[in-house]
Amino acid sequence: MSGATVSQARIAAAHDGEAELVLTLSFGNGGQSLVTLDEFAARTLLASCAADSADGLIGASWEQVRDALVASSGRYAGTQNTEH
Amino acid sequence: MYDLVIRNGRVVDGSGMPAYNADIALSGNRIAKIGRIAETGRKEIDAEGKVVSPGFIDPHTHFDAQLLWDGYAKPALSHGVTTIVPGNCSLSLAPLRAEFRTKLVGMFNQIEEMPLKAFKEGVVWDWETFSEYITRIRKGLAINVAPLVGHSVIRLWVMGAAAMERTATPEEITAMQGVLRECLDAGAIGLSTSYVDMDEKLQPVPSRYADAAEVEAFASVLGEYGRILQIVPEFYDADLTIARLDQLAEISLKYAIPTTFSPLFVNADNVDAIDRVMRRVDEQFARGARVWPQVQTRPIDISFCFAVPSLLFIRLPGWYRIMRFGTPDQIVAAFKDPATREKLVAESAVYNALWPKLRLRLVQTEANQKYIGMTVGEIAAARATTPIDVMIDLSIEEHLDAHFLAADMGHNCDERVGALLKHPRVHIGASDGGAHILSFSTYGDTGFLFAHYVRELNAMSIESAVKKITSDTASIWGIPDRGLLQQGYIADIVIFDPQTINRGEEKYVQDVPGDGSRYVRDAMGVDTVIVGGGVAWTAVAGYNADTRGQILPGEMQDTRTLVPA
Repeated sequence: MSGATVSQARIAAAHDGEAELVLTLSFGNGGQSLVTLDEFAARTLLASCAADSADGLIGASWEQVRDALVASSGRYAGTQNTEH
Repeated sequence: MYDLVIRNGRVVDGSGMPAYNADIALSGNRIAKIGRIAETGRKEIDAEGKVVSPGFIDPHTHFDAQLLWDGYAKPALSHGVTTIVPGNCSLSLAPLRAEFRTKLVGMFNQIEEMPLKAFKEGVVWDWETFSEYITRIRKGLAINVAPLVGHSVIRLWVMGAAAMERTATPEEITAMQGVLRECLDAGAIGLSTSYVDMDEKLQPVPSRYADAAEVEAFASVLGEYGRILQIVPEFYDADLTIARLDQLAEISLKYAIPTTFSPLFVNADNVDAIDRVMRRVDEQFARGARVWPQVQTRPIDISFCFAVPSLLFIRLPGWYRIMRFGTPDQIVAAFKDPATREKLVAESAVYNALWPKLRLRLVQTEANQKYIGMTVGEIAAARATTPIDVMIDLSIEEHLDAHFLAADMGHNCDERVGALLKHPRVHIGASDGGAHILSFSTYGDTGFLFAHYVRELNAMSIESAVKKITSDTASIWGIPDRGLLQQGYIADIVIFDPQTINRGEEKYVQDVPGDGSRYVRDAMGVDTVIVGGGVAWTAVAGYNADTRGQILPGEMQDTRTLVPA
């Protein structure tokens, strides 16, 4: 996993009609994987990379991508509804 | 004398065999004879120049709520869909205890974008059990309904709030198996579950807290009935999707049940992933497993207005920055500022090929209603300005409540999607009918299949296309006596013009309870839709009050009382 970086950023259409950002992560051994970011995660990643466009994400580390995804999914942590 | 005779039609019988010319006679709810019919019918339809096919079956819908106020599932029926499968993705409206109604409505709103107000004003909550829900929707049912029961709601029924917190105990799993049996006895066609969906708090839906033992326990019950398991896998990741389909394959083999997963999309950057998934599907089918991927026919559109940040603009820093950080007033002010506007227009030049193709979907002011449905390029011509200026000006005039649509932005690789659609181990579906009603229209996928992949691209024959959405679907889902035009089969029939069948333009209508609205598409080229031997819809007269929809496969009582040919 060490050293994986963003090698490509593309806009894709999600099945709910929203635009989403699909990043290609390239690994040191030549392998690649795709990661999908929603608008919040993309915005978080842009901020952490000090980028203002998708092209500015090229070269970002997988740790930064991970942190953006965690930030997105953690937005509602602790607010689980237990009322019924 | 027959009840109905359809004469001179081109019969595409759903088997995939070549079309032929024949008359079809109906008695009661069944096909009595196919050939040259000398006898007359109480009613006769001239189908000269038209195709006569089995009614289409839509296996992935969320009409659960709409069926409470609309037994026709409008406009699906008018598109030739005679059977729908609601209850997908772990969500059904039953069984549901009263104390969890608000919770479930929240999940439907979050996952399927079904308006809260429609539930509040359009639904009289007079059921809790699955049987009671079936009784409720059976009244005035014009379309056949093969309902799935949702894993998440069974969890809520047995475990209460703990369904959203932990795995189930052995005792709870046994209790849930009992509830599933009750639902299957009451008419459920199978069980749906999800590994990806989130509730209204963006927490995992209850089904996601289940361990493998729980899912397998459900599968063992489905095996007792030979019923289907539908899942939503981690479809955004090929490796996770393959892991899930391997899990499904083991379940399918062990309990001898069909399984299906959806959705499976083709985008420019995931074609390798699709190939890998399909190779594994082929391998698992070769082992004897049934793991049917569902693929939709329609491309995916992206909708946006400037009040909400959209990643469509992430390559345009100036635009995206304004959308991210501005209040509506600030964004309007930025659009009005000549210097800012000049920069935005200059920056937008990189997408100058896209802007004219955008279509205006929704505005609030009366003055701009005339532009709805037009492309931005057409509006620019009418206003003697540029497309980018049209977007900015309309957004100012509408205080950002101008909604645009970028069509065909995903699942739009004709060659790849066409190859998938005709793949013998791909199941055409995933329409999501009845869901996402405020984002886009989920109706007309069947018309698009014929118009685009059969007529325009010649990617598949009309016989193959009909088979894919009729007898294949009936076989996969275990729907008896439907999906073929054969003597003795139930008379669910569509008569359509093969030269004109299509989906109409997307339009915004106000026909949802609570003064709600939704996007729909009218049918094009469909002449007559027959359900259970009765004319349910015609292009001339619209929907018929003679409603004959059934619950499929139905309670045991239904099966015993089917009208003989």
